[in-house]
Amino acid sequence: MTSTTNLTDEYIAAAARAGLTVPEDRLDGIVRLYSELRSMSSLLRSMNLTAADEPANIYTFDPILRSE
Amino acid sequence: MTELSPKPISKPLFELSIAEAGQMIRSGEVTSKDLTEDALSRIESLDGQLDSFITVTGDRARADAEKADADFAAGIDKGPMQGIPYALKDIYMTSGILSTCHSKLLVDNVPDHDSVVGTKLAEAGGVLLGKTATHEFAYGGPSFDLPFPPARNPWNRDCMPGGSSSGSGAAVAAGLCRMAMGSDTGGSIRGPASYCGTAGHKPTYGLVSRRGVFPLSFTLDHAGPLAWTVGDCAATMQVIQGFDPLDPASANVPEIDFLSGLGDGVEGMKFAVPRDFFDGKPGMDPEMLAAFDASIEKLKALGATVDVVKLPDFELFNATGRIILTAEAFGIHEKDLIERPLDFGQYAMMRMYAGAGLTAMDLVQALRARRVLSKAVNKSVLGSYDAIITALAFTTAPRFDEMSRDEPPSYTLQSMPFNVTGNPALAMPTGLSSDGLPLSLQIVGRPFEDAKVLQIGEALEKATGLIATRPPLAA
Repeated sequence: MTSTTNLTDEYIAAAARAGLTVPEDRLDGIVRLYSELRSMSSLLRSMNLTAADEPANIYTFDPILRSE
Repeated sequence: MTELSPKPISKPLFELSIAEAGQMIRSGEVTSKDLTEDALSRIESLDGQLDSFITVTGDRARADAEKADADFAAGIDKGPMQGIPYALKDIYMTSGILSTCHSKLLVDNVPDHDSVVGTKLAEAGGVLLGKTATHEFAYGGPSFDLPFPPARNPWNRDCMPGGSSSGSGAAVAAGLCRMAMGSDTGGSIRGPASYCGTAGHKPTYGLVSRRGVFPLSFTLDHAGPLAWTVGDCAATMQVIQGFDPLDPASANVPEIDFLSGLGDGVEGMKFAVPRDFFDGKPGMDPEMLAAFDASIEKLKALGATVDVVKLPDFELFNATGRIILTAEAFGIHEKDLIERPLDFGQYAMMRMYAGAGLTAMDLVQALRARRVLSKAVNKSVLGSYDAIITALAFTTAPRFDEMSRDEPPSYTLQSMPFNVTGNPALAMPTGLSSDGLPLSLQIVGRPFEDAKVLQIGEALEKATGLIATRPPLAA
């Protein structure tokens, strides 16, 4: 399990890569929201998806061509 | 008395449904101008307590009403919305009219184009009353650090109206308009409908164009109506549906007849109830559950059969939706998040900032999960049932003073699964709690069977009779 400190460091690094400046007074709250997202992502990885389970928004030509 | 004498109006104008108002306009008992002046007067006298409107377009409304009346006089009938006053959530772009998304970032934004929905309503002879409050960019809120105050719940001003279509829900419940357009990315039509005691229809993904509606999450956004009655949602859907080749998500399907099935009831229909979603879950209000069960009994009494079914765990749907929403919202706002983050309100900024830590793998896994979950709903359950009936909100409207000032509030809603799957979903009231706040449920149909969803809702609405009850503030 990732500790709060590690999670905060992980988030700060990700935010920096994204070019964000995180206000100090909002950091704890943002990390709590980020922690929820990490838990959700872990939950989805328990679904045992197979290689045949393609993404829902798989690339298709029709909507692209018709919007030209 | 001759047969041509008009019948006396038996209830206040604001209480007329869209169908009733349309009938009375066509019979000459009222004019669109009468309805419009009444609505503008109610907004003037009541909205100071609700803050449901950001912009009131009085001149535009009067011009629209005059045109609608002139068209009627010339024998031109454009259908159910002609002459009917309505409002648009402020994320709908409106040509020449302030369109702020309730944000400092767009506080002076006056677009040069209309949303497709706005265009359709205008072409159908609707009367635009104004633009309603939202959570910032349909995401962060309710907030007190934005250029405009948050809307309040007309049933109790100390309570939230839900969001993000908060002004639309409050305005409809208070009888300021019969219908206001909302948008629903994770429950933003159905949440306000639930907390404000209105009907709210999230159409099938792709049935209503999203073009000209400021996006929150491209693959989860739906445009749809909030209205006092299910029939009013149907009247609106009749006008706003339709294929839009310039909306990449728009579905090229035959147009639906939303009106002829209303009143046909539910006899012989089969409904599925995923009780594991909500029964016994922490935070579920016993009154909400009791009203849900009473509604199920009413549907049975109307001739439907109801089975308890299993769906994949609610948290899987919620996680899928939240990850996709956060990633897409970050993508949309990335430039402003980097360059001017403090121009966002605190809540929207925090929610979107959290998305900076999501990875490409997180998003791809969520998109793969989405397909699996959609199959589970549509093949495993709706392959055998006409609709899913399930809880929506676990509680009545939360109070503003229960909000944390440090972090965005979260609602206990079970709306996200049907943004993930894209199925049509109707929120509607089931009664009032002991403290006088609306209770609700949701009805979920097969893709593009939106008319059947509204048919079921209308049958239940007639059976519950709640639509006769308005918030005390609105009476």
